[in-house]
Amino acid sequence: MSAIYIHVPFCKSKCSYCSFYSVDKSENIEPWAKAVISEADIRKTYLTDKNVHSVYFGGGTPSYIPVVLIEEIMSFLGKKYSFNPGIECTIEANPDDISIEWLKKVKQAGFNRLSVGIQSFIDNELLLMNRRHNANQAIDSVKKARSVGFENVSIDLIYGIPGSSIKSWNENLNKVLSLQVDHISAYCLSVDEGTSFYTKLKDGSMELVDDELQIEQYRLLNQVLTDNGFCHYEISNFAKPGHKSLHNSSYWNQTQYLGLGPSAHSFNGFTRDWNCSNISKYIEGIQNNSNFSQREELSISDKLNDYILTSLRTKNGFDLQYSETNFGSQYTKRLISKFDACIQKGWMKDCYGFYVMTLDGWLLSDAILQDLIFID
Amino acid sequence: MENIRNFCIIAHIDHGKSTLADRLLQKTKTVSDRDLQEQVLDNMDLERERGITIKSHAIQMDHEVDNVVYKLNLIDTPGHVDFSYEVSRSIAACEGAMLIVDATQGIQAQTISNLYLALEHDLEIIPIINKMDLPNAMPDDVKDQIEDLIGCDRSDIIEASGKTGMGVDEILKAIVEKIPAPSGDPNAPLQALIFDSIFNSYRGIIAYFRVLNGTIKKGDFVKFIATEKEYNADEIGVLKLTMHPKDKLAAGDVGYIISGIKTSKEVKVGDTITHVENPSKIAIEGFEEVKPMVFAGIYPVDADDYEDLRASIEKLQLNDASLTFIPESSAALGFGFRCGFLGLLHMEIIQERLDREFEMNVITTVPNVSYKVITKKGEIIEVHNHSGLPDANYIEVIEEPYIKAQIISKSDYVGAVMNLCIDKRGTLINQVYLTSDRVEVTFELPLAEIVFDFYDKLKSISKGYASFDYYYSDYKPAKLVKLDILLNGESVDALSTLIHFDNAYSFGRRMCEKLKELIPRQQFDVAIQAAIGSKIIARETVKAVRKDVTAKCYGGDITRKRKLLEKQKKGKKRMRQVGNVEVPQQAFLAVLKLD
Repeated sequence: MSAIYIHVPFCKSKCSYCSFYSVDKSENIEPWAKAVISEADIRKTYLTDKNVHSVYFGGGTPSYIPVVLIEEIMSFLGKKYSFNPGIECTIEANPDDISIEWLKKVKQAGFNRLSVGIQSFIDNELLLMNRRHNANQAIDSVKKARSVGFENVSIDLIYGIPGSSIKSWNENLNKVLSLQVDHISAYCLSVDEGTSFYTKLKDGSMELVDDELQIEQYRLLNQVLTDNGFCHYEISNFAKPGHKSLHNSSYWNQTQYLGLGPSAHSFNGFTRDWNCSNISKYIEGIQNNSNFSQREELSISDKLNDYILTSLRTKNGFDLQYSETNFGSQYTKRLISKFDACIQKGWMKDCYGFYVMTLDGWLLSDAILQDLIFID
Repeated sequence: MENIRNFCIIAHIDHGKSTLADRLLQKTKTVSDRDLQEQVLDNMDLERERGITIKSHAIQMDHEVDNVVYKLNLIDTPGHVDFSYEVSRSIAACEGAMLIVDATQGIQAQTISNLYLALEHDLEIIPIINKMDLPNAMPDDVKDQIEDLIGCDRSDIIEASGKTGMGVDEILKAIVEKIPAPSGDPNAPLQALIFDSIFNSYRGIIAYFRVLNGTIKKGDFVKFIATEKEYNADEIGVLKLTMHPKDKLAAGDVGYIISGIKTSKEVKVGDTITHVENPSKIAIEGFEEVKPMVFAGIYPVDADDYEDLRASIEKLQLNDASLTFIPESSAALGFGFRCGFLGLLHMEIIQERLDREFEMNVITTVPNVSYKVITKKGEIIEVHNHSGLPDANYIEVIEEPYIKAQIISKSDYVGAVMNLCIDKRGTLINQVYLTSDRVEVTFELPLAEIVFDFYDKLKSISKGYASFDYYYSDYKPAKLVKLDILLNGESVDALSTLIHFDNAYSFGRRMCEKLKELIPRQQFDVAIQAAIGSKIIARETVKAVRKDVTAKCYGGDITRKRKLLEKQKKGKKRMRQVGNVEVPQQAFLAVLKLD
């Protein structure tokens, strides 16, 4: 099984927290679509596992570009790659772009999963983050998706927003519950260099909420959602039974993925590759079939480190058997003793040969992973 | 003997001593133009880069005037305050000195103190203004300064430029005509003054000497009076660009001796060489044991490098007997060495040489001076390390070394200079206006106060104009306390210091603040405390990390995440474990430069 990701690097406006690669030059949209199709053609041997079980259009803002281009890419992929019968096809959308008409078109194009960038149901927070929609549009967009027949709807949320509190976060979560979505990705606000939040933070015009509030919000998130039938299956992801994202999961369970478009990342079990993050260079590179991506060959310790840091993000956890088989008993033994120390501290649990992080463990996961990985 | 001229150079760092010396070598054809490596005399990279001469060297030039060949022995002197004893021995080996003053900068503190030394030894001074080629040369002002200082005739001051070669002929002429030929009796019992030594990996220690009386021949059985050791003079000779063996050297000559000596400790600068048979009854005056005054722990960053570090320091010591070391261990830093240095610059040089010549990565602890503890029983103990301090109950008094510091500054900055010295517990002894805008101030200061950040501060408050020289004066009672730094209640020996009581509170507070910046947050609160005995005088807390998670793994970019974690882990590996607290290396270094 493998997955295909298509990066749509276009946005009408830049959100205050976003460090993803995106541009607003609409004249590049058509050349971009052509290039993506060429790339899909050039790299059709990249995936060694030919069974595609997920296609994901992310961004950027996929709902910002003409659906016809998306249809073209989808149909090309359908011809060149072998789609599984139960394939999950996801498209990300901004609430203000979602109309009944648009929903019908994308459904027609083969999408069966919608990921809505809601982020918050509080207007002040949306304003602060420079989102283009308001809370009502957010609620409407999900209702419209349902009415058109989307049975798998995911929303994105952000907590730890400046000015937020436990109370405001609780209100957000109640709105989420009342909307009855199937999947939730909830991320703690992180302020990356190059974003407008970063500038504000540096010049002192904005202050982050303190760690304690972020921790409380995270615990509340976990509690409210798990109490209401969601499975907390990855640090930041929650799903109703049967609705785990196949696509997101491929990043965490060693599934191969092909990333098309500027700045997209790929993995085929042996190498990790990433396309350049510049639309013009990308298009030119694809046209000449050269210099559009970089590659790293994975050593055994790279593979092991990747397995440690991805598997422990998930509820499935670290599989001892898999580690023994793929990385040998020496590495695995050294890990077990470290896992035991984590269990002592309440950061992990041993679930029948699978080591799984607790909520406390996830909160400190970067520090724990740092200790677990191998460096020469 | 009447055709020998022995002389040295007195100059401040960067006043162009070495360049001018090179010109003399070139003019006398001691070195061919082709071979002339910039600044031949300073042959250590570090010296050339810093523009300072760390160890003195000697070189002989042949110079013909009216069909008479003169032997000119130039004895180069180290150019830094820490080596003032070596300078005094070099001066004692000469009859004359070239006083070189930078035409753009004028006389500096160090020049003056060395000049006084030369005058004490009745050396004939040849005043020279160097760097006359520079557009900002101010020969008139500088001539005023020199006239005032040595009372010479203004017309005797030679204008020169090492860069263009201007004045070199006049200098050679003055050396021959003005500097007296050495006196001494070649038939008297042998007295030869050792003024320097170097280590050669094939030949062992090579000692440089000046024969004052008597004659030394190859194969003679000789004795070093101070060390009372006896050797065969396997080889003697004179130094040109290379060594030239000779059969004999007599009164007035400058030369070298190789006698199978393996360690630099056996050759002490200032010692007298004489014969075993028919020895000189008296040693040459002025010999002193050079004692290190500043001490610091040197530890390998990687504990596995301990043996390599020992080997490296041993090699340095072969060349530099003034460096001392004994093994020491620290709970925080592991195994290392307590090293003794002549002064701060000496310490910095050793650190840099370890880094450059031996590629040793080291941590140096807070330096301290050598204290004298007088116990209640009346014993006198020398203490080089806070851990060597006896229990307070046994201490009658602790004494600390003082220095006399001469500082020359533009008069604009003299107020700031004085404030700095007074802040550093100094006492003003003298103040002299050298010219209308140059002041020389003399302070008595505790050495411990200049060990920290005195040089840097002096330079910055005087915009780089002040120059500084010192010599040791005396030991005086001091109100010292041991300041401990505790991390989560555990004392970190590598951060403990002996410090004057008056400075302890502010120093302790600044240490805690600095450490708070440098110690990363850990999975628990880290209390940083400064304590005198059981009394806590300052405290800071590094709050625990309660949350350390990347919520998002960006679009399948696992590489970035892995590389970031690997980088963090490598950084952490370089940290030192103190109890359960991880302390970065730079915390141990940064305390040396507070503020």
